Amino acid sequence: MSPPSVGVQGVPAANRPAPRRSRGRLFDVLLNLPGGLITSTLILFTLALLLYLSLRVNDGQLLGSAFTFANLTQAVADPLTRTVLLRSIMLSAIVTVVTVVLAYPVAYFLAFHAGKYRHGLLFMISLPFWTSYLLRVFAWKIVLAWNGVLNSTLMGLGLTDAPLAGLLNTPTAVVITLAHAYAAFAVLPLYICLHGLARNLLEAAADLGAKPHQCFFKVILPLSMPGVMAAALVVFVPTVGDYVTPALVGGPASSMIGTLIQAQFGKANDWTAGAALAVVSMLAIAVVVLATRALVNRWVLPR
Amino acid sequence: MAQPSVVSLRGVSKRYSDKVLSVDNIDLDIAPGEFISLLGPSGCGKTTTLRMIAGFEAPSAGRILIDGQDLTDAPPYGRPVNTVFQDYALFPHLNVSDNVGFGLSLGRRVAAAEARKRVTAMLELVGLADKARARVYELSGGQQQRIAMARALVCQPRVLLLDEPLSALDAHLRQYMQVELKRLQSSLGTTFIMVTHDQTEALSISDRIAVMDKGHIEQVASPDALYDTPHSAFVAGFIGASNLLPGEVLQGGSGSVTVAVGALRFTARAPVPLQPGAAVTVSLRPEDLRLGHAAQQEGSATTHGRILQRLFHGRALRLHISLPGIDSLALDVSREAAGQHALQPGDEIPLSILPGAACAFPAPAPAA
Repeated sequence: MSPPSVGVQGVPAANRPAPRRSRGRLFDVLLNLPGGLITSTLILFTLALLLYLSLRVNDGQLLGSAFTFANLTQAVADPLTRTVLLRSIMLSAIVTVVTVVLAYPVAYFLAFHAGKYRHGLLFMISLPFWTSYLLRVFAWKIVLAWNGVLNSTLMGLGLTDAPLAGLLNTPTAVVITLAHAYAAFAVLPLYICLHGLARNLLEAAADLGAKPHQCFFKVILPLSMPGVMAAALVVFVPTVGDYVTPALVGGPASSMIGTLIQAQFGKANDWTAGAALAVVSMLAIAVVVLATRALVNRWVLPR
Repeated sequence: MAQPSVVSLRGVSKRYSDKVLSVDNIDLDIAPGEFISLLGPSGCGKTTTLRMIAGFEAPSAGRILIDGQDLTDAPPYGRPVNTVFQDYALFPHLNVSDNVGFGLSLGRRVAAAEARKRVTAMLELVGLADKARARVYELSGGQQQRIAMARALVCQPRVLLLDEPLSALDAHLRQYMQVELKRLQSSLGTTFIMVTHDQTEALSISDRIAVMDKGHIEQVASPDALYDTPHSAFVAGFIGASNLLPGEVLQGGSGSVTVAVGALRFTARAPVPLQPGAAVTVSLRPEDLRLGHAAQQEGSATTHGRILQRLFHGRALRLHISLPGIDSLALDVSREAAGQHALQPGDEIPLSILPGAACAFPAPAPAA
């Protein structure tokens, strides 16, 4: 049904700005076009392809020839997958906690005490990113190796008699390397959140009798939880799938889910199994993230 | 002094840099239970003074005594004062009752049950008991203002500091909250120190007002005294409306002088002794001028003027008139008095100055 037609002369004045609004919408569309194209083609398309592959029978054809849930059930049922996935999540959780706990004081200092040095320090925090990720992992290999920088220093100082063997090729090495690699990613959202905190809230807390530590735990920390969550997300999600670091510094006891997925797509040449592993790990990450967020929301929001 | 003061400022100064002296050597004694306003134009140092009493700023010189104790160097959390912030500074992550109870929840100052009781009582006092569980951003501006008051008052401070507490409210609500503020203050008996740039607000609810300008306290007095006997041309001009006219002393003296302003000669009060021939600024309130020639009295002056502008102010008309030697003079005429006159721009009208209405102050040295 069409609305009763009204001649141009009869259009009420209030409705006139319509063409302007549609031009504004066109501008919005144009602004979002590049990002939208990249998201839909590169990310959503590849995700869809991954999901599709995980549901196909591996019969030698590129995209398989029939649907099956076997890949997914096998991925979930395989004890190796479960062990490795659980280890990945645990290692990443440790990396996340270590990184956020270490990044928080840096961000706090930048936000509240750095003064005129703030911009210079932020620049210096971004400096490690000027070298390749691989190079930074190798640097840790040199530091942590059996005859590496750390062991030589310890022995040189007489703190140990023999080199410590438990550094390189252990999960600890993975945690150290990943925590270092993602530190700056954690600092930035925390810094932005703390920097945006209204200073008069801190004054109000002190005015009401809060000593500095009470002010931190009762006002600053709860109000910076969005920053903490953002930082944790930025560290946790990519580290679960990381396979370069465990491969280079982790040794046999710390292969992560990324290593398995890479092996399926590479050496084993079983793309459908690899896709199934990727889908399972994505779901696991989503569950962990959503559960953590729900917990934090419950804790932080007013009762 | 009969009563020991609750807050004493002794030679307090605040210098932000070599050039800017924000507060310049002020002394102020505030009596217990008093409602005192720091009033002045922006940049006069009133907020800095309040922040120094609260402990957010350290004075560059001088001492701040609270209840006789030197608390100049005490941190904000170590002072028996609480602040109501201009934009309220309510904690967004806490609900209304947790905001109000914040100060009581710190340390073990009050038992939890007692704290709950006091929060409830305070919410009732400000009329928001039904909002205890609400989030602060769900409240209107006026409600947030009252929560900010409740949060500060529940700590039972010796002094409540209010930084432009009503400036974010619309005119109607502001008037209502002025009455609320006064009611709270008199029912609790707490000393209130309020910073404001709104002279009407200060005049209507303060017991005393400290008028500040350029980091100095110009005068501390009750609203009536400030209005009737200003000590300087600045106070005369800032409090209420005043014609500030350049003139010359004809006959000097202390207390009362005869001045010449334009072609007019009349007596004026002189808070500062003035010599004949001295250049003065004469302050004359629009309501102290009368339409028509009042019965000739000693010291009054009568003249004629031409109406330049006519402004309707409700109960009164404000006329801007020009006189011989005076470009523009504001004059208030009640509507009864205006009755028989047309009072249109261009009209010639007779007018007189009430005796003793004018005040003469030494004129500021002409700028080089």
